Amino acid sequence: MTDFADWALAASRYAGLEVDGDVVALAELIYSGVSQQLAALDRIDLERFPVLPIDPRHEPTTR
Amino acid sequence: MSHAQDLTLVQQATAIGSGDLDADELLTATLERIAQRDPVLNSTPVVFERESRAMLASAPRGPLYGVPITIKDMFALPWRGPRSATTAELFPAGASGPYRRLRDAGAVIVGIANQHEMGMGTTGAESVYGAQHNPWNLEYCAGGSSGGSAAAVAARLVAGSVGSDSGGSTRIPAAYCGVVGMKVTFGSLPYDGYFGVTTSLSAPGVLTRNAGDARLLAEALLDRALPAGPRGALRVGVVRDPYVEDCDPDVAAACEAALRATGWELVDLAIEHVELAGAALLSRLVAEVGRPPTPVFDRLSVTSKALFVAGSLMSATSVPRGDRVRGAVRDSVARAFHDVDLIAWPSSPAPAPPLAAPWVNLPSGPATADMANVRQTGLANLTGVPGISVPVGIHPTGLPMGLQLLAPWHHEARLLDAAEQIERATGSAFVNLVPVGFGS
Repeated sequence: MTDFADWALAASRYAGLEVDGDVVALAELIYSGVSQQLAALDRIDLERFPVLPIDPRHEPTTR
Repeated sequence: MSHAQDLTLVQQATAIGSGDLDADELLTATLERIAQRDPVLNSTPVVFERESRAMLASAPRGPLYGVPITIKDMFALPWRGPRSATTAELFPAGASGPYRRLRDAGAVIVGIANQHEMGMGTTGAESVYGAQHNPWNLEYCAGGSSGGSAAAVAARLVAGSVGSDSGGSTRIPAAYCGVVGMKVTFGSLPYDGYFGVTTSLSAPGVLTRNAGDARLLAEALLDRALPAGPRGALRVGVVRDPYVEDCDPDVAAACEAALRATGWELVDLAIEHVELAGAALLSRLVAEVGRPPTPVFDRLSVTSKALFVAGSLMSATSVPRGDRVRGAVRDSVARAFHDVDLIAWPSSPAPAPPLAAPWVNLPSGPATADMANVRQTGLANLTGVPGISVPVGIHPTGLPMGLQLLAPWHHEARLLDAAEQIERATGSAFVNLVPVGFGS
C-alpha cells in the first residue's frame, strides 16, 4: 500500500467514509494531477500578484 | 404534420399568445414526446405530469406562458429538492430563485434534466439516473454537467432548458449537442435554493435551439429585458495560444470560418496572466465543492468518490494564491474589454468523445475531456463574465462543434446579438440541423 493510500484511507475513515481500493487508486491519480497543476501557484511572485477584492458579480474597480 | 416541439421556444410562446396553439395540447404533446424519445437519450429521467399541469393551470400570462421547459437537478422546486443526480435531496424542496423567475414568466416545468453527478464532470457519463446520450451519436457523450438539458433540446423534447455552469457546464454540452448555451453573469439572479449557492464560480444558464430562444428564456431568468442592439460590426479578440492552437484542427477551422463570415474585425488578443487561470480556477473548484451526506456519498460513482477524497486532501494554501491570480486575471479581462467587444475561441477543443472513453486528442497530446474542456470555458467562471456557445458546424465524425463568445459583466444582450449575427451569417445552417432520428 502506498503512503497516499494509507493517508487517504485514514482520512476517509476519520470522516466516516467507507472507500475501497478502486476509489483510493483513482484518488491518487487525481491528487497527483491536480497537485501538478496547482504547483504553478506556488511559483507566483507575490509582489506581482497583490491581494485584490474579488466580487465576481461585477467588473473589478481596481484597474 | 410537424410536432409542436419542432417549433422553437419563441414560436411556441407566440403561437400560444395568438391562440394558434393550445397550451394544454402543447403540454400533452411534450410529455408524449419525452416518453417516446427519451428512452435512448436519458435526458429527462423525472417527468412532472401532475405538477406541470398544476403549474399550467395557475400560470400567469407572462412571456413564457404555457411553454414547457426542463430544469437541471440543481434547483429546488416546491415539490422536489435538488439531488444533483445523486440518490437523495441535497437541499429541501421549495421555490428556488430560478424557479420563481420561470414560474412568474408563465413557464411550465415538465421534468428534471439529467446531469453529470454532483456537477463534477463535463461528459454527462456519471449520474444516478445513468449516462446522458448525445442525440447525434448515442454512443457519445452529451456533455456536462448540464448534459440532459442539451440532449433534450437537440432532440426536440423541449425547446428550452435551464442548466448551470461552474466551469463550462452550460457551454460544453451545448457545443457537444449542437445547441445554444449561455451562462449568465455570476450572481445576476437570486441563488436561494440553487445547489451552487455557496460557490463563487457557478451561475445558471439557458440551453435552447437558437439565440432568439436563448434571449427569451434568459430574459425570464434574469427578469430584465435583453434588447437587441444595432447590427454593427464588432471588434472581437481571439486568444490563440492555447485556446485555438491546441484544438482539433476541424474545430479551430469551423470557429474561424464562422467568425470570418460575420465580417467582424478579428484581432489577436493577449490576456495577461491567462496561463495561470486554469490553476486559479482549479484551486477554487476543489475548495468549493461540498461533500454530500454520507448515505449519498456511499452511493456515488467511483469517480465522484475519488474526486471528493482527492479534493479533501489538497492543501488549502493554493486558495489564497489562486485568488491573487484570480484578481489579476479579472483585471486583465476587464482591460481587454476596453479594446474589444467580445472574446472568442472554441467552446470545446474537440467534439464529444465516446462515453466509453472520454478522452480527446489535441495537438498537445491526449487529455481527459474534463481537463481539456474546462481549460476552454473556465475563464468565464473565474472572472464572473457571461459566455455563450453557438453551433458552428459538424465535425467529420458527425458531431457538432461550438464557438464560445465572452462579453463583459452583465452584457448578455451583446452575446445574444453576436450569436444572432453568426446565425444570420451562416444562414442558420447549424442551428437548424436536427440529429438523424429526431426530426419531425
